Amino acid sequence: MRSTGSLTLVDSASALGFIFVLLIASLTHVNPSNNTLAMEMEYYQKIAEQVLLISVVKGSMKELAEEIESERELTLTLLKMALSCPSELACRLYVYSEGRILGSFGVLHDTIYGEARFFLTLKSGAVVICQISAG
Amino acid sequence: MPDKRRVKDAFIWSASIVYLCAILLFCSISQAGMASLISETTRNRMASDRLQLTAYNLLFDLNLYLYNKVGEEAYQIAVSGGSPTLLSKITLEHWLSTAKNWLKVEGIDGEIDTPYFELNQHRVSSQDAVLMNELALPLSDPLYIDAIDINADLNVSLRDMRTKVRFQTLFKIRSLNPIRIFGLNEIATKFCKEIQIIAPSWGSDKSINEMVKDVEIQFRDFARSFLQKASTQSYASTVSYEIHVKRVNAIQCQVIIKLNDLNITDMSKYAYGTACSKLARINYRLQHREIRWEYSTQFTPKDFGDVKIIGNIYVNSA
Repeated sequence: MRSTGSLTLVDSASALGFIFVLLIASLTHVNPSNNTLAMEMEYYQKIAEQVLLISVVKGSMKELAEEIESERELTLTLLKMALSCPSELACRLYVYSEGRILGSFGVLHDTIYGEARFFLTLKSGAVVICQISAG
Repeated sequence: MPDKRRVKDAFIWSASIVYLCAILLFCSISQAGMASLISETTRNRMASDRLQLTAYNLLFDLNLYLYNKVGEEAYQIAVSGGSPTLLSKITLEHWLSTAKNWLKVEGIDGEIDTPYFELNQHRVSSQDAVLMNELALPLSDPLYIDAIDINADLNVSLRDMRTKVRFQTLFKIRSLNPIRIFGLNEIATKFCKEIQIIAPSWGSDKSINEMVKDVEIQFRDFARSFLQKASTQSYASTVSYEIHVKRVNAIQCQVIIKLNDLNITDMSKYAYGTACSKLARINYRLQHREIRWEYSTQFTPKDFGDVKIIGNIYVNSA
């Protein structure tokens, strides 16, 4: 059946199709989740950096360095360091030296996390890694 | 004219759809632009934060490294009874090369150098509160006198290899190691020097047996009062000695005071050194020092002999 006054069904369908194609094309430009992810990671990274710096200023990093040198248990000091992390976030700390993990504390609750590293020049170099995710 | 009208309607619809789509496309492109701008800013900010943390990492790590290195060196100097000037043997080459390797691993193009580095006897408190906090030390303490001031400048210039973000700064390290190596050295050398000066006046015109006892009494009196004075500044000491008197000829006898072991310990609550990866008190040790002098006697020539007394003195810190 043909309409006498205005557009046909075919015209409307092709117009809708055209809009749909254009919308798809335009939406592919934007990936809002990536952007949010970057900002979220930046926030977590900043918190991780603060946790490490606070630990340094409080003297916990020196304590940790002494424990690494004398090959003592690190968990208690790592726990002290993790206490600077806001309670609504999850924090994981570990110490890495000569290809092995010397000690770790905490778990992450999300695959999206921010990370900061602190290097210690001891007899053999050690890296303290702090990772923060949503709680 | 239905055909004309249909064409007109179709044109209006098409034009409005194109207009709508153009607006959508424009919004989408500008949104994408904003998103990439935010993303780039975030990336740069993350890189800049990381560079700042790395720079502070270098500052705090150098401070801790110097504190440990100075502690180890002071421990060795004390054990061997050496001079604190030996502290000048400490260099920063090892730290600089390790730190540069670390930067490379982190993907940071970095230049670091220490244009100024000095270790001095502590006199006036000019320490940095944050760096002292890092070492878990109070900013000032009466027992810091004669400790070791650590002064260094650290120039840091960092560039993130991915984002090309730069960070440059100059840190001043004004820190301290509380081991009072200057004080320990001063007390030990002064003790020996003073004995050398006043000992020739010790002695008596009695028999050799009595003379050796007299010399011991005077030596013990002197040593006790000297070391007790030091104990008020939190130093503990032990001296093991040997006094030897022998007749040389009719009018002279020789007196020898052997300081077999003079041990002075820094009892300040912060003064610890590292020995075999363990914290240890700092013991300044002088061994086998000898003070000898000739004493003119008036006792009878038949009183020939050779008398020796061995003893120890212990003085705890007050």
